[in-house]
Amino acid sequence: MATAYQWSGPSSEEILDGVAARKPEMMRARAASRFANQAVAAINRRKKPVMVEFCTVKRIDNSRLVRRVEPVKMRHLYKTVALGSIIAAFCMLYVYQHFRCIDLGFQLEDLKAKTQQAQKLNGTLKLEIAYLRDPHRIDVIARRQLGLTQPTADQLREYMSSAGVEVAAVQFTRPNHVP
Amino acid sequence: MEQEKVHLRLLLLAGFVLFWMSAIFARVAYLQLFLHSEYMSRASRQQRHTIDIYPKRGVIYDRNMHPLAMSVPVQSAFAVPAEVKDRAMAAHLLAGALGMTADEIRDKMDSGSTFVWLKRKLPPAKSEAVESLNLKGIYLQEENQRYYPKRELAAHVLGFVDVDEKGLGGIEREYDNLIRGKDEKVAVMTDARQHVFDAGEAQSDRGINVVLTLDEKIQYVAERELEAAIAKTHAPAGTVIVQDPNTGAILALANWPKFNPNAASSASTEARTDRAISNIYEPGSTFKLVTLSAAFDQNLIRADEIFNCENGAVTVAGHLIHDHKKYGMLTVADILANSSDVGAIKIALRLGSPKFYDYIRAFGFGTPSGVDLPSESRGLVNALEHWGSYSIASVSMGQEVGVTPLQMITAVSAIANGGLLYKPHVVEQMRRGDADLLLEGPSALAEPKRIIRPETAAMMRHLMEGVILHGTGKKARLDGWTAAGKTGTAQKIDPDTGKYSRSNVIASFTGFAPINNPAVTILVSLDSPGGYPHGGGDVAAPVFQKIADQILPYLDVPRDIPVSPQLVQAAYRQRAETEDTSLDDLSTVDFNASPDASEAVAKPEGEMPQLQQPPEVVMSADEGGDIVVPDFAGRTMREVGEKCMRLGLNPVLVGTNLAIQQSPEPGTRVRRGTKVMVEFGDPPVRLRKSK
Repeated sequence: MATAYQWSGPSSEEILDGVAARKPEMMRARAASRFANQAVAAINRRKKPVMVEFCTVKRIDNSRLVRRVEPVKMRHLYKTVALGSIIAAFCMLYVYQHFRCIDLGFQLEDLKAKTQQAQKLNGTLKLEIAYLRDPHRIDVIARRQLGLTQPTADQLREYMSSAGVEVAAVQFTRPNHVP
Repeated sequence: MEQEKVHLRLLLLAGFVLFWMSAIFARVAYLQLFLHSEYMSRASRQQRHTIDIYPKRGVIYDRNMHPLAMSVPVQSAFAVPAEVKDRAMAAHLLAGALGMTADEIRDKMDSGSTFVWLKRKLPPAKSEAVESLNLKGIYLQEENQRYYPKRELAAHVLGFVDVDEKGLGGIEREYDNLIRGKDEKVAVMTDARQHVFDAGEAQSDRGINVVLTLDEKIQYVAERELEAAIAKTHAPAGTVIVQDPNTGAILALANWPKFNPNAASSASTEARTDRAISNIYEPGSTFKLVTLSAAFDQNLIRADEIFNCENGAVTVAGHLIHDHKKYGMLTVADILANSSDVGAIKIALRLGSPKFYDYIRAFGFGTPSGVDLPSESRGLVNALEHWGSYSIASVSMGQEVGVTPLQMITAVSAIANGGLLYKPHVVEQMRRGDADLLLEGPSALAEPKRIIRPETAAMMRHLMEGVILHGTGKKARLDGWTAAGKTGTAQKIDPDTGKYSRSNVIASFTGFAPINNPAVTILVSLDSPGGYPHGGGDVAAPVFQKIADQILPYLDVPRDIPVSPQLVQAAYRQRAETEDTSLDDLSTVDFNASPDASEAVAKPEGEMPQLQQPPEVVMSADEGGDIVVPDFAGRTMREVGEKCMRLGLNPVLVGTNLAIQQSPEPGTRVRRGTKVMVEFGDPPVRLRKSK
């Protein structure tokens, strides 16, 4: 069965009117201009003798045809996709880690700065404690403010330990005594 | 035709895109493959910075880990003059913040240097003031400041540092390379805003911590009593050393004059001199200990042997030598107790110069003791071939020989511990963090050297006890502990006449306590004490007594003789000046004031404090108390000694091995301080009875 095709579109005036009726927008104007050129070309072709073209259509039902896919190729495909996925994942992980490292680096430096501040404060407090424990200072306070005096010999009593305490006393060997 | 054009355009577009992408790719490849290193170095230069880490000096502790020297970070202000636009304005603003004049700051900035320190080691308030000004070209640099929180305490042992934290004296100088650590540069990565996001850890050696053998409380007692003695006698200089005779460890080392190491630059050279190790003096009569020890060790004399002291004068090689008193017949024990020069000369003559010289060197005189402190003097001992005809007489009584106080106390410690000469030392250990470092090289502790026999040492201890009980050192007698020692009054050479002066002397006392198992050896030396009497037994022995009375209970040394009953003055103080002072207002205490040093500060007569009410007087009875003598059979010498010490008995130990006999018998009730004779030997073999 053959079918003849003929131009049955709008005339050039209609087209030109249609084109003129469009809004003068930049993008659309460019499309309209291209369409107008095609229309003019169609009109020029209409002026030539009508040429009938025939086209034979043969309907072929190939729905039952199945394209054979080679398993090796599929495996290659899967491998390639998997490899690509892994590489992509690694790349993303690398990028993530890189930026995460930088972020953690900032946090770490913040914490280091805080630690240093704490250590500085700790050192200052230790120094203050050392000043406060100065024997001279304690002596002045004890004698002048609290009115304390040095005990006389018989005001000091030695601790007489019972037998059971001797074991514990071993742990408190005189600091400068060498066995 | 049109389609071809379209295709052509698309082709052109695709070609352009392809070219564009290829160009980018080519450029990327070029950058990556050919310019990689250059751009990496450029990035590194931009991101990477190095910061200087100044090493923090280690902490110096006493034996109880109380810090004596430590460093804390402070800020120093510096300027980069080229960056300062308006120097006059900057100088004007900084003058108020730094406490300097504007002209001073301007002069520094106009000096032509590219970098100038404006002021170093600022207090926190001043550094904050400079920071708040936010001036361009003015920066703050963190440094460490060395602090000595106990001020003058143990200043001569600790030493001091300069503004660059370099050790210049004492331990700070001796172990400067270890305490100081090393400078280090640490690389940091910064972003465009100069925020650090990656910094390396400092890996270099930080300064190590030093633990001294000093005890800050004993040190304070020594310094306080020395200062009191100086105030009382008006002596221009003095030294006190407290040593553990069982190890050679120095527990305290005090000198007068002293200085504050926090402001060492303002102290005089004399004040910064460690007289205990660098000052040579003629020891005088204390050197008779060496003379007698040598003679006893050679079995040349006995304690009860009588010498004729020639009524106070003897002629040796044509030189007439006078004694300080006219003595007749004296036993050897009395020669030492009364410090007879003639007796000592006669003993030395019996000993002979060569052997005497050997013993002098064996006791460590004439060679540095090896203490871990800088600038130690070796003393002055003439070589034997340079001895004159009467040198043996002079040396036997402590003349014509120069020793340092440290050498003297080390020699006496050898007598105290039974004849072993230990190397004196002030460093107990070194620590990096929690780990202890082993001492290496000359600082390492050496094995003690036996210089006299134990029997000789025991005899000398017994004779030295006599010096305190009935000799020249009675003022050194302790209440509750036995003690032994020797006085010394060495005449100084008058620089004007070149002869020995009668008024300028070095008064000294060296002793230890208790006699059995001594815990401490103490040396007191006062240079040119004023007034009269000014002998060692008069001015130095009381200092020994005061120091020993305080540190023996502190060291928990058991008493070995009963405490004598005495009047106890209850704590009564004239508190008119301090009655209104509350504990909430401790800041008003004048820390620079000298504490009341146990009535030692000299007060002119008539200026004694007037008491508002009579002091409470309480009579304390000697409780004594009966002590049951335990059974020592089968015990070791050490066990017996410790048991007796604990019970307050005075052990007399004879022989070796295990205890086999004792007197009084076990179960006998005795008073404190009673002598218990325990004889040691091989225990009797017990045969097991066959069943």
